[in-house]
Amino acid sequence: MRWRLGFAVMILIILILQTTFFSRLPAASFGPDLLLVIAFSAGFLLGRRQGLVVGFTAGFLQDILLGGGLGLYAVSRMLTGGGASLLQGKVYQENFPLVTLLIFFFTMLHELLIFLLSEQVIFRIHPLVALLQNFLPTAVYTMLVGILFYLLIYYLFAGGERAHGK
Amino acid sequence: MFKITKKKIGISSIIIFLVIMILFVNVFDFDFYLFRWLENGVYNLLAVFIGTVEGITSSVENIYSSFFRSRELIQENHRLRQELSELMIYNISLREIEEENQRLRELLNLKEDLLANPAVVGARRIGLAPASWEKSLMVSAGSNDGVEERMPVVSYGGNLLGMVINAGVSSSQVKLVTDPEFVAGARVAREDSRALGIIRGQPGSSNLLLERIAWDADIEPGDEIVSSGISGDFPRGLPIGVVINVEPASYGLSQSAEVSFNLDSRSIEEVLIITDF
Repeated sequence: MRWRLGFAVMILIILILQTTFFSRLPAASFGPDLLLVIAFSAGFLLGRRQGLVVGFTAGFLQDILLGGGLGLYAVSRMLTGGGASLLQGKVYQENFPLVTLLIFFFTMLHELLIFLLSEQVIFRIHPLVALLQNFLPTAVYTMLVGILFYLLIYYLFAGGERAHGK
Repeated sequence: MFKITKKKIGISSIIIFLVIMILFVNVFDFDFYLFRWLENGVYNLLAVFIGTVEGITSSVENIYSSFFRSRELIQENHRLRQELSELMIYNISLREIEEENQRLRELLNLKEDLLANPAVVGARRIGLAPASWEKSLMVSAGSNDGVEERMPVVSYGGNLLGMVINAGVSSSQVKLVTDPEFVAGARVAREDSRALGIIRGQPGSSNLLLERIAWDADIEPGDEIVSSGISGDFPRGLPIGVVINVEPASYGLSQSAEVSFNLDSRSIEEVLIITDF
């Protein structure tokens, strides 16, 4: 119950931040993709079911704010949460440098998926231009800001505080 | 070892069903009432939070501006007053021309089809789309203010900005002309050329693309592009941008032109929604 409420509040805050605060900043695209970090963290720290549920909810709400209804982000975020859960038990949750790289990797994959599924984009921009102008800046930005959110989620929901105490 | 259990099959089936349903709804553009109802409900709820946060952020910015940019604001105010006086004088001469035009039209029995006294609703930007490629705005006017889907949106300078794609109760979503999915009829606004084309947003660029221009059409860099009004979705003559360069397209069967769009979506603070034209 605690994780459900916690993640719901986090998704809401991040959506509001991405729509209002980050949109005012001149940095890469729409800012760090913190919804992806939330979906990744839920799957990686808590498990498959949590990853899928959090990913779907975050993506669904994002799709609604884009005006297109149920769409790409609901699917892509759900896959991110589910994909991250496959690494649970295989990578140490406390190995923060590796987790940082994983966030970078997952952001790149997610951006690639959105690019491939956007029919009005894929045929109208060179993949190299998309990589340099969009994928890489977003992935680096998300990796740098995202690890802070991962740490927050780790300490709040995944027993990080207890692990740290031991 | 990976074991296939009934529970796993059940979860996988639900996920696959959900993914197929979402893709199906999107590809074939189905409009399920239940989805629509759910989306609108959630959107209206989210819009309240986003509007509140944006209102607070704007207030803080205004306080900051009034403290640290007062000198600049006084100068701007002075300049705007001067511009307003000039425009009022210009407006008087335009009215005379309009009356003359009206008389001549009546003589020739021509139908009025220009944008004359459109009904508009002013709105404040409350957010930008949180997405990689999509370019859309959230604005503070909705169905309560008479806003409906497909209504054109312009800047305070009269430039075409986009179209309402979803009207909530007290806020709406506007697809910008720079969005890769945006399409509108446009033409050259030059005395000796009325070349027609289709204006579209370009992914990863703030410039627009004017496509499907006839291969022999008269178009050159520096030409102003305005809405053609052919589709009926937009009024005729709304300024869109200026041609940067022109090149042959479709193996020389047509031309395409890159058009500059000078309004940055981040800097658009206020918009006008044309509710009737």
